[in-house]
Amino acid sequence: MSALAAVDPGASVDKYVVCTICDIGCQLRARVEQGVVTRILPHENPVLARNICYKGTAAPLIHRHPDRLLHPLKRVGARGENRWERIPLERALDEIAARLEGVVRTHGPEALAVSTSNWNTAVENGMGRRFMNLLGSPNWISGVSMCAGNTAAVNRLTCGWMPFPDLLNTDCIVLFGHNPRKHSWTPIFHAIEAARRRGARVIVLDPRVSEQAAVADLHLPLRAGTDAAMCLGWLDVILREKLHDTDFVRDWTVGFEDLRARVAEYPLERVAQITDVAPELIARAARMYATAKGAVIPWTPVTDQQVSSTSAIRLHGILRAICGHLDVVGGELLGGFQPDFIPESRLEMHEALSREQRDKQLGADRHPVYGYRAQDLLGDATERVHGYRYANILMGCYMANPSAVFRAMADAAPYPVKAFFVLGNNALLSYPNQQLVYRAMLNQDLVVAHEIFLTPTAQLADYVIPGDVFTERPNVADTWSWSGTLSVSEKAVDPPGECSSVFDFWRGLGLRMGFAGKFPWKTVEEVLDYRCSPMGRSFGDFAAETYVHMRPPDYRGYRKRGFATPSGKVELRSSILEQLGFDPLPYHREAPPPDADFPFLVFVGVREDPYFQTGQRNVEVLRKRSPAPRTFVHPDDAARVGLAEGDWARVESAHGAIVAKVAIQSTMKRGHLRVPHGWWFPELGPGPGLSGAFACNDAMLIGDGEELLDREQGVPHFKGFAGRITRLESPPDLPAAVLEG
Amino acid sequence: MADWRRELERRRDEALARAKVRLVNRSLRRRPTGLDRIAGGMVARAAGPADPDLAAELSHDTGSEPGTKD
Repeated sequence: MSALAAVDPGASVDKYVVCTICDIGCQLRARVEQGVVTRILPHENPVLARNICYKGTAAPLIHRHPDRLLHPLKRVGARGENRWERIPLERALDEIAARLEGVVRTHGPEALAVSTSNWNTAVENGMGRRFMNLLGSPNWISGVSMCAGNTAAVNRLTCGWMPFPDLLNTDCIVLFGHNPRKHSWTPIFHAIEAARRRGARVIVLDPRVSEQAAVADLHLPLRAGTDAAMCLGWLDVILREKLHDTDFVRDWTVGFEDLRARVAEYPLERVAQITDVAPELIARAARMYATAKGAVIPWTPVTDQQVSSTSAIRLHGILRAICGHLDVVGGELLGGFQPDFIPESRLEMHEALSREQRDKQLGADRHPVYGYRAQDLLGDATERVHGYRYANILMGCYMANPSAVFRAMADAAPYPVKAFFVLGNNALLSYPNQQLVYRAMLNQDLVVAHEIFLTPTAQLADYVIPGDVFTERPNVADTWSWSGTLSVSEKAVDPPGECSSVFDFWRGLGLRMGFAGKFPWKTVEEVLDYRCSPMGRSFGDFAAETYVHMRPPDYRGYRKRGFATPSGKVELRSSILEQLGFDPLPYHREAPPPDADFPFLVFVGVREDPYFQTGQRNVEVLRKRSPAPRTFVHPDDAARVGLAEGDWARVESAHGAIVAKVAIQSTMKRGHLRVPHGWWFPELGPGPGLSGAFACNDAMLIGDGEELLDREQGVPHFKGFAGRITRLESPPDLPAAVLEG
Repeated sequence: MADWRRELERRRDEALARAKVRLVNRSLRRRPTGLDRIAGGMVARAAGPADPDLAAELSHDTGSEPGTKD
C-alpha cells in the first residue's frame, strides 16, 4: 500500500513525520485516531527512538490549540488594532496579487521583501525564491542570515561547501558555545554522547560552565565574542609546534605563508589576554584538536553572531583544513548536492533574476558576503565541482541583509520597499533592532503573514493566511543540501479549516501573476515526485521503502574535482574577500567595550529547552517549564548590583531595555549576563500592545549600527555587547502568572 | 609512517566508514529483511543503552503521555 494512501477516519494508525517544532528534524511517529493526531511517539526503530524531546511530544497540543488560525483574515482596522474580516482563501490570494501588482507597478519588483523560516513551513520546495526571481526581487531575508545559513555562505568562500561533521566516526569534538542537551539539539546531543562512549574527547569553549562544559575533557571559559581570537591562538600553537598536515597544506591550500604572518600577530599571550583564558589551557586544546585522528568543530550559532563572525567561521574552516580534518573519516565532510534528490537550489530559478535586479539586493554594497554579489563569484567553481552554479546551502547563500531591508522599508532608502511577506516567521521579534523592524512594518502598503497563530508580527499584517503543520503535509527533509540525509515525512491528517501550505501560497500567487507555466506542480506530492525522480521512484515509493536515507560519504572527493573555490583549493587567503575589498585574512575585532555606564557583557539569543525561538509560549505544558523570562547572573555580580534570586530587573544596552526575572547561577562567567530569546505573552491577546512584544524580548537590546556589525556579512553582535542590569523597585506591568512564575 | 602505508590505512578507514553508513541505511528500511534486522541490531547496540528516564521526561501530564513501547 502506498505510504500516501488516504487515512481511514475510523482507524488508529501511526504515520512517520519529521518534526518541525525546531530546526533539527527528528523523525517521530504521529498516532492518528478518529482522523486526529492524538499523540506524538518516539520512533520504534531503535536507531531513531531517542531523538525526541518534550517540545515534539507537545505537538498535538500546538496543532489543535484553540488559538490556531483556521481561516484567512483581512485587516479592517488600523494596522495592529486587531480588527479583522474573515475572507475566503481564494479571494485573499486574488486581493494580495492585485495589491502586489500595484506595488510593483509603482516601485518596481524590488519593493517586495520576504522573510521566512523554512524550517517551520518546510514544504516551500523552492517556490518562494522561484516566485521572487521570476518577479524580479532579490530581497529575501531569514533568520538563517545569523544562524547556519550565513555559516554556509562563509564556508563556501574558504572551501566551497558547508562542512558536515562526521560524528559517527570522530575522535574529537570542539563545541564553540554550543550546548546540545537532551531536549534541545537532541540528535546532536545523542551523537556526542555516543562519540564519548567510543572514547572521543570533547573540548568546550563557553564563557559559562554549560551542561556540555561540565562533562568536557577541556573547558575554556572564554570571554564572549572572542571566538576568532581563540582560533588564532590555536593556530599560533599548531604552526609553532608544526602540528599541521604539511602535505595537505602544500597540495590543497593557497595563502599559507600569508596566514602564518597573520597568526604571528596573535601570539598565545596576546590571545590569552583577549580571551581571558590561560595560555596553557589554550595550547592544550589546540594540541588535542590538531593531533586527533579525526576531529570536528560542529556548526554553532554562537560563532555566527559576533562582530568578527566572518573571520571566526573562516578560522574554523582553516583549522579543519590545515590540521587535515577536512573531508576525512571522523572529520568534516564536503558532500555536495545529494544526487538522489533534486535540491531546492535548482527549483529556485536564480538564473531568472537579471543582473540589474540582483545588483539591487539590499545590503550588498556594505556587507556582500551572503548575497549574490559575493556568492555569484563562486558560480563557475561550483558548477565545475558540483554540477550546478547555484548552491543555496541551508538557504543562506543568496540573502539580502535584514537590517538594510528594514531600513528600506522604514525610510525608503536607498529605494522604497513597500510590500512585506512573512511566512512562518515572527519577524518583529526575530531580528536585531526590533524598534526598526516595528517602524518598518508600519510603513508598508502590503503586509502578508502566513502563520499558525496570531503572533505579534501577524497582528501587523493586512492579510493573515492560516498555515499547515508537519503532520498535515508530506515532505522530504534534506537538510537544505547540507548533510546528504533524506528523512521522509508522511501526511497524517488533512489541515483543518482553510489552512494550507506555503507551497500552495506561492503557487497560488504565481498563477495569478502570470507565471503559470513556471509552477507546473499542482501539489506538494507532485513536486516531491519530481524531486525524487533521480532515484527512479515516486515520493510514495520512497516513503514506503525507507525512513531515513543517508548518502555514503565520498571521502576526499577534492582529489577528483578540487574544491569549489576560484583557486580550486582551500583559500586560507580568500580571493573573493580580497576582490570585494575586505581583508582576505582572518582577524579579531573588538566590539565597543563595556564602560562605567554599561559594565556587563550581554549574551543574547539564548535558547530555553521548552521553546524554539519565539514559539510555544502559548502551550501550557511547555510554559509551565519556564513561565517567565529570566536573565542569568553570576552570584558575585548579583551581590555587587544588589540583586536577589527572583527579583525583577531592568536589562539595558545603549540601544534599548527590557525587563526580566533574575536567575543567579554560579556557572555564569563573572561580568556576563545571559538573556533568553523570543519572549512575548500570547495570554495578553492581540491588540495595540502586540501581546507584550516589546517588554522582554532580547531583540530590543540589540543595536545594528556599523560598530556592532560584522564587516563582511553585516551580522549583528549578539554575544557580548555592553549592557547593565538594575533591580526594579516594583514589579513590571506583566500578567500575574508571569510575575509569579 | 611511509606514505603508501598511511594511504592504505586511510582507504581502509574510509571503506569501513562507508560500510557503517550502509549498515545504518539498512537498519532504517521500512520492510526489513533478516539481514536488515541484524544490521539494525548492530547499529542500535552501537548507539548505546535506552534511556530509562526519557518517557517520564517526555510526559506532559496531559493524559496522552508517550511511551517508549507501544
